[in-house]
Amino acid sequence: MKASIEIAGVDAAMVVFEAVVDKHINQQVHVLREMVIAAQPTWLSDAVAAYHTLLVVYDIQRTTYAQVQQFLQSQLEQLQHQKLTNKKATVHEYFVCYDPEFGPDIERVSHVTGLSIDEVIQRHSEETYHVYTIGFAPGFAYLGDVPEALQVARLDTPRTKVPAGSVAVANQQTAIYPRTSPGGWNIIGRVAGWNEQSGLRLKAGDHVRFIPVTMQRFLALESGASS
Amino acid sequence: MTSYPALRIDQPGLLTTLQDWGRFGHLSQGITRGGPIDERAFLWANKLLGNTATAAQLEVTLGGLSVTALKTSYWVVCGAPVTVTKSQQPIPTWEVFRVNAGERVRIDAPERGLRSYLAVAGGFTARPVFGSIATVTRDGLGGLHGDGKPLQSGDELHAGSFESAQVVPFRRPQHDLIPRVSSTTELRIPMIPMAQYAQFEQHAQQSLVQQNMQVTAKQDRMGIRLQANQPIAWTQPQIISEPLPLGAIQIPPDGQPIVMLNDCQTLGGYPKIGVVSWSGRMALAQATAGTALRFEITTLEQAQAEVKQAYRFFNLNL
Repeated sequence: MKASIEIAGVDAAMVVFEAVVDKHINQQVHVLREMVIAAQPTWLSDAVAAYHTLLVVYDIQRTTYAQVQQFLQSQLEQLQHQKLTNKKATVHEYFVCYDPEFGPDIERVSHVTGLSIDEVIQRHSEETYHVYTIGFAPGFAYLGDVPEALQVARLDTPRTKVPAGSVAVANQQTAIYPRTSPGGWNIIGRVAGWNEQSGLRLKAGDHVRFIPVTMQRFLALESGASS
Repeated sequence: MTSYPALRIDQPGLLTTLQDWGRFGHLSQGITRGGPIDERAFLWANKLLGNTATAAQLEVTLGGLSVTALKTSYWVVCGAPVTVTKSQQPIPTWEVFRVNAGERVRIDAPERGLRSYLAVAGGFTARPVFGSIATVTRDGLGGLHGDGKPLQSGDELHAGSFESAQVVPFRRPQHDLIPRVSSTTELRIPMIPMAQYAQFEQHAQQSLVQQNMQVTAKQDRMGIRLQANQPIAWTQPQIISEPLPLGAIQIPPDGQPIVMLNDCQTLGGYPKIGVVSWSGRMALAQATAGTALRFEITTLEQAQAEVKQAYRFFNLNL
């Protein structure tokens, strides 16, 4: 597993693995992040895992880049000897209503992919998704991989307002919009009982499953969630 | 902690937000840091009042703020050159003044620059969200009510208690220590090559430092778009999104650089060619549209030395 350590800012270093979107590599990034945090270096300010990169923010009053680089190098060496995948990922399950009222793009996705709406729902919900990274907005989790048959490009023109809890797809990724915001992904459904805190419970490396529900069940779950 | 009612907002102006030093340690949840864009002006204001270095202040963008003091206290306004009036009488900026309950203080639109900082003795208080009261509108976090909203007419802000013996009225920095904000001289912006720098072709690396660029009106607390006559070309395939550090210079497909500021998103998918130094970022914090600038390459050692010096001077221990 090759990785390099680079300057990423006035107070930041970046560990860069092979530049591909790959679950195995992404998992290494998450394990490295946990190792860095577990080592509790006094200078550690933040550690952010993305697909193939780990940003490490450090306190320049307590350390130097050279020391951080050396520390990360030794963590990388330990990572090579570590057995991965023995840790069980946390699984989050969400009830999703794929009705066009909540998924205004589901008909378009069906048209573009040549799948029926029922097949779109089936393909989207039969997968267990991996949280590659969280970013863009608080609690916005990039989930993958969307089955190839269901992959659709982003919208040409982003919407100015996507409701919180909307489930969306774009290329090999799927996501839940954590709060009402602009967005350019294809909206295919809505999570029942979602609130603005829900996204913040997701962590990179977790797993996510979507369970299709009818409009009736969705409304029952919504009223249950708000009472 | 005891607090006192400090002021009421009569007119918030274009954009006035509550900012402390920022929200740290939550980047992996997609939560950005926020905090004052002009950190130097902010640190000066707290230093002059004898506040802790990170005590919360009002960040006033393009002036237009009018407030009424609710209690006798000491205040200071630092940042862009601007006319400040107390009971309609002009008072100096960068100098601590006493304000009596009921007096009205107004910050006009700045002559040059963008941002002013109004600090009060003791610092403003509010309920912290993820450890900070910094307002980040796009994250919907922080501020007076915790929801990321800018301040509005009628909002009443409290401040922490302070020892009046510690506050020295009329205290101001030596004249030559007050950062100048110029709209005519070209800014020199030190930057460290990083991230995808080596993957840019040589002519792109050269055109980054060999031409003057201009600050555009397309700027906010997230970032500043620049205008370059010779766009910086990225000829490689798209990159996979990466964590986006503060001060990063992103190159979008049109080749016009974007410098990322405090409210920037935590991940970015555009290639980065460098990261701006602290003094460079502080200069950009007050740069209005049309300001000319030129990037110049510096080293990490130099960039860190200036931050360490500043933190020592302002007694900032994070």
